[in-house]
Amino acid sequence: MKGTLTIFRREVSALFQSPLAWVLLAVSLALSGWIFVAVLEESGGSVKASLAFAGGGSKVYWMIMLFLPPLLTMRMISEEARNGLLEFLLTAPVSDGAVVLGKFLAAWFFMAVMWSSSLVYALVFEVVGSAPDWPPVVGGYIGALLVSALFCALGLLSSAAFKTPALSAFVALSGSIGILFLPALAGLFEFGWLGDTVAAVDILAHFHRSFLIGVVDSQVLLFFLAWAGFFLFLAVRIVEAKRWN
Amino acid sequence: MGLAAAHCLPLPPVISVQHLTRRFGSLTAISDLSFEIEQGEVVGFLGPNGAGKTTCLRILAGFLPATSGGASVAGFDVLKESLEVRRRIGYLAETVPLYNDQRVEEMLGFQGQLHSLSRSERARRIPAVLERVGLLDRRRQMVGHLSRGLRQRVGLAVALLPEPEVLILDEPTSGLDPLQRIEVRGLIQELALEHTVLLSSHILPEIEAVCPRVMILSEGRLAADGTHAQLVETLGGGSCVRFEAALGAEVQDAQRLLAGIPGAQRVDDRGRLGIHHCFDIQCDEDLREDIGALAAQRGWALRELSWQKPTLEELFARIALGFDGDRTGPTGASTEESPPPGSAPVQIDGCPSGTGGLGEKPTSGGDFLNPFNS
Amino acid sequence: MELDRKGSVTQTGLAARFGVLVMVLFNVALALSAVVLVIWLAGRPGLHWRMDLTRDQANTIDGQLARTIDSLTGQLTIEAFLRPFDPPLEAVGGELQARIFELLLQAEEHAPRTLKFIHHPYLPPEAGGTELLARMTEVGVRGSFNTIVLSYEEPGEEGSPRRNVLNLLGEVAEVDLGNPFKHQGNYRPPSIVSYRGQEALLRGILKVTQGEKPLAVFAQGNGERALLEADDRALGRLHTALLADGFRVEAWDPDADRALPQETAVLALCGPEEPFRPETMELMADFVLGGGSLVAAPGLEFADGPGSVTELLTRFGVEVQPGIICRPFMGASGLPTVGTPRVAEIVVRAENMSSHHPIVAPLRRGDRRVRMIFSRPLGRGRPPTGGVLIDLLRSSNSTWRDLPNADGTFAWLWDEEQEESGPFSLAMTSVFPIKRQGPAPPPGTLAERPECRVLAIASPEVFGSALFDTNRDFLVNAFNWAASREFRVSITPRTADDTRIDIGSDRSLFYISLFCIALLPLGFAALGLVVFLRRRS
Repeated sequence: MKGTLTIFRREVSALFQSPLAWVLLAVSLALSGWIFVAVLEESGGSVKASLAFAGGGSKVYWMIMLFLPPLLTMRMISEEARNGLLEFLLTAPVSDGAVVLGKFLAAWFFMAVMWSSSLVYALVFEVVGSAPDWPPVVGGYIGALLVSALFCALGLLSSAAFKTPALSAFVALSGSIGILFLPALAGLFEFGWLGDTVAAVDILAHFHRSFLIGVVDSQVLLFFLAWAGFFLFLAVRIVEAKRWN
Repeated sequence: MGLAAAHCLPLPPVISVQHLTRRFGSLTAISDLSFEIEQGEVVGFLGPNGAGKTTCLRILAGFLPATSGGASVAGFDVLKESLEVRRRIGYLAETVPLYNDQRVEEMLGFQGQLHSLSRSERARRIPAVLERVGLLDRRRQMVGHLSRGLRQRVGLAVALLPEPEVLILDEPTSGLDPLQRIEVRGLIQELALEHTVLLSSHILPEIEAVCPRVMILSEGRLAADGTHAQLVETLGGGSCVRFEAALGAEVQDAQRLLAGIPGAQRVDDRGRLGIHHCFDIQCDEDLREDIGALAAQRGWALRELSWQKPTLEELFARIALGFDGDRTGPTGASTEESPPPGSAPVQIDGCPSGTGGLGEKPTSGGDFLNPFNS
Repeated sequence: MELDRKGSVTQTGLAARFGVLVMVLFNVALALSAVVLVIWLAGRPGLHWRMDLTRDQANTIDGQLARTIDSLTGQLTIEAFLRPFDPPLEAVGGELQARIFELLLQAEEHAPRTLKFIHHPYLPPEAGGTELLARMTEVGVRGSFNTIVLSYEEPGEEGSPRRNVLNLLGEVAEVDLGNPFKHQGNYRPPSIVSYRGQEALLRGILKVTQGEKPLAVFAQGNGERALLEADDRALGRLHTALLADGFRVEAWDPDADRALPQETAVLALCGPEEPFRPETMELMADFVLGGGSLVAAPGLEFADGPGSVTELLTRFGVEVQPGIICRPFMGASGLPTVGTPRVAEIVVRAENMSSHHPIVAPLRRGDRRVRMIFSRPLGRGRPPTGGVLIDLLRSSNSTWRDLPNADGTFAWLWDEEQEESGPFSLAMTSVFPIKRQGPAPPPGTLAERPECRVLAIASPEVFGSALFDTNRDFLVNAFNWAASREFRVSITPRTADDTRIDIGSDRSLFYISLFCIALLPLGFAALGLVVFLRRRS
C-alpha cells in the first residue's frame, strides 16, 4: 500500500531513536542470552536444546513476547490521536490502512531485530565449531516473527482503541496474557464445544507443534497471519471510526 | 498550481461546498453549509469557538466525513476521492501536529514522502519552503525544541511542501504572542499572493488583515459571506448619522424633525450628555447635509455630526455573537430587527446555494436581515 | 483502504447508533469468519502442507508408518500413561516423553478418524488417580507407567480389543544414564542414545492390527510351571502379559488332549519335571518341524534323558549341557562370596545381550536385565539342515559351570581344574526351514517366509512370577518372536540430533556467556546511547 513504507520508516526511526527501545532491546537480549547460556550449561552443551529454549521453549521467551509488543505499540496510535498527529496522517494522501500497517510493520521490525538473537546464538555455535541445524533455527525465527506479529497487531489494536498509552499497554498486555493462557485455563474444565473453540485459538499449542520443533505448517502459518490480520483489520476500523467522532 | 486545466476558462471553483451538515451525536456542528471558493481567493472563516470552523475545515481536508451534503476540492469529492483531495491540499491543523522527535528537515522529508515526492524533488523543495518560512538556518533543529512561532512556521512549511492547490489553515495564529502573530500573519499574506488560502480564526483583525473575503460562521451556519466592503455595505443597515447638539427643551421636537428627514429610517435617542443631547439617525445614505441644514435652520448648537458605518468587527459581533449595538459601540443596531443569533443566517449574496459568488451585486439592503429559513 | 461509505446517516439518536453498532458487529463477525475460514482452509487436505526443517526429519512420520496408519480399517486407540521419571532421568525422560507425545500427536493428525490418541496425565491415587489405575489395569499395564498401550478394534469384531504395550525405555528409546558424579570430573548427563519412536509405534500397530491373535499353548501335566496359578514360580503374570499383548493362551495336557490345538503358533515347555511320552515327543517335534515355534526351558529336577526338553532341543541343534552356571555374588562383607546356592542366580546385563536379535535388542537398548536361577549352559549342536543358531544371552566372564558332585549335589565353588569358566550361552535360538509338510502354518502368523523357530532358555525360573518384573520384556519379546510377530520393520533408526559443544574443557562456555549475556545486550545499549546523544545535539 502506498505510504506504508513511509510510515514504516518514520516509525522505525522514531523507535530506534528513543532510549526506551534500546533499553527494552538490551534487557530482552540479556534475558534471552541468560536463559540460552543457562540451558546450554544445564544440558551439557546441547546445541539443539539450548537453541530450542532460546527459540520458544522457555518462559523468558514468552515473557518477552508478552511484554515487548504492548510497550512498542502503546504510543503508536493513542498518543498520536491525542496530540493531533493522527489528524496529520489521516489528512495526508495515504490510506488509513497504510497508516496502521506502517506502524504495525515498524513494531514488528523491532521484534524481528530482537529475535534475531536466536540466529546470533546459532551463529555462535557455528563459530565455536558445532554447526547447528540451521533450517529449524530459521523456522523457529519465522515462528517468533509470526507470534510477534500476532501480539504486535493486538497491541496496535489496543493502542487504537484506548486513549492513553498506559491504558493501551495495560489492556494489550492483559489481552495477550488472556489469549495465551485462556486455553490452559479452559483445559482445566470440561467445556465441550467451548473448549474446542478455545483450543482453536491456542497459540502455545500451535507454536509447540510447529515452529518450536522445526516444522513449518501451512495451517499454523495462516493461524498466526490470519489472527494478526484480524486484529489489524479491527485497528483500521477503529482508526476510521476516529474520523466519525 | 499543478492543475493545467486551471488555465482554461471559465475557472471552476476550487472549493465547492453544498448543504454540508455534520453532526456529532445529537450535536450539530455545522448545518447546511454552502459556499464556493474560486482559484486564488484568500478566504477567512470567522467565528467564535465552537462555531464549526474546525469541523468544516476538517471535512474539506478529508479528515472528517460529512453527515450529509457534499464538498469538493479541486473538482474531487472529499468523501469519494479523499486521497485525490488530500494530495491537493496543504492542511495545517490548529494543534500544529509535528513530530517533536524529528529534525525540521526530517519532518519535511517525511511529508515529502507521504506525498510521494521523488528524492530530487524533495531536495529541491525542502530548502525552498524553509527559505520561504525563514527557517533555513534552523533545519537541523529538533522540532520539539522550537518555539511556538517557529513551530507554526514549520507547520506552514509542511503544509506548503507538496505545493498544494489549496492551503487550509486552522487557527494559524492561535497560541502565538503578538510578535509571532504578526510574523505568521505576514507569512500568510505572502502566501496568499500565490495560493488559494482558506483559514479560520476567531480573531477578527487577523482575518481583516489577511483575507479579502470573510465568511462568518455561527453555530454551524454561515452567518455572512463577502468582502469587507460588501459586508459592511450590505450590512449597512447598521449605518447611521450621529447627531449631537445642545437642544435645550426641543428634544421631542428634534426627534420628530429628524425622523421626518427623507431617508431617515429611525431615530434612536442616545440620551443627554451634559447640555448636549445625542441621537443616532438610522439611514442608508449619508444624511449629514440634510441634518446639518436642519440644525442650522433650528439654531441648534451642533457638537457632532458624523456618518458612522459599522466595522467588520461590529458586524461580526452583532451577527455572529449576537451582541447588540449598545454594547458594541455607537452603531446601535436595533435589536428588534437583528435576528436571534444562530437561528437565521444572514445571506449576504442573496444566493443561498452560494452559486452566485462575490462578483454579483448584492440584493437590496433590506432583505438580507430577514430571517432566512433553510 | 478507502473509508467505507455507509451512506449518510440522516437521523441521529438511538436508531442510528443502533445501526452503527449492528454495522460494526457485522463487520467484526465477517472478519472473524474470514479468519476461521482461512485457517480451516489451510488445514484441508490438498491445501495443507507441512515441511519438516529438522536435519533428522524428527517431526515427520515415516512413509511406512504413514502407510500402515492409512491402511487401518478399524479403530486404533493409543493411550499413553506417562509419569515424570525419577532422578537422574527427569530431563532425559521428559524429552523422551515429549518426543513420543509429539509422534503420537503427529500420528493422530495423520489419520484423525482411525487413530485416536489419549493422554492420561499422571495423577497420584490420592488425587483422583484411581480411575487412571483402573484404566491401566483394564488395558493390562497395571502400575507400569511410561507405557503406551495400543488397542485395536476391527469393525464387527467381538470381544476385547487387541492390545499391545510399548515401553518408553527400551522399546521406544535407549537411554544412557551418564555419569552422575560431578565431583569426579568426568560428569556426563543422562542422554538419549537412540530414539526409535516410529519403529516401536509401527511394530505395535502391526502387532495389534495384523492377523488373528496368535495362540500360545503351554504344556501342562508333566510337572511344568502352572499356567494359571499366582504363586512365585507359576506363570500367572506371564499369562496376563501375553493376553495384554494380544495372544490367546491355552493350556495343553498332552496325555489328556493328545493333539495340539489346531491353531497353535507357539508351544511353550516351561520346565517339565517329568518325561514326556515318546509319542508326545514326536508330536511336538512334528509340530516344530512343520513350521511351529517352540519356547522351551529344561526342568530343574528332571532335565536330561529320554522324554526330556534336553532331548527335544538337541534335535533342533541346541545342547543343554550339564552343570549349573554360577557367579560369585557380593556378600554381606562386601566381598565376592561363593559356596551357597545364591551363586546360581545370574543377572544378564545389557552388554551381554545380542544387539541384533529382535528379542533382546530392545532390551539391550533399554538397559534392561534378565534374571535366571539354576541355569544350564546351552551349547551349539547340529541344527537341522539350513538352520542357524544365535546366542541371545550370555553369562559374564566371571561365571563358571558348577558340575554336580558324584552324589548329584553341587559344591557352589569353582573347581578351576575341572570346571570351565564363562561366558556361557543362556538363551539360544535355532531357526531352520520347514522340514516336513505338517499342518499348514497356523493362520494368523505373519511369517514372511515359513520357517521353524526354537528358543531355548537355560532356566525355567525365567518364566516365574517372582522374576517377572525383570523378565517381562524378554518373555513378551520371546513369544512375539516365536509367533513371528517381531516385524522386522525397515525404519532407519533415528538418532536424535544431539550435537554438543564441549563446555567442560576450555573456557568456551565462559566466552559464550560473556558474549550472549553481557556483550550483545551492552553493545545494543551503547548503540542506543550513541543514537540518543546524537539526537540530543
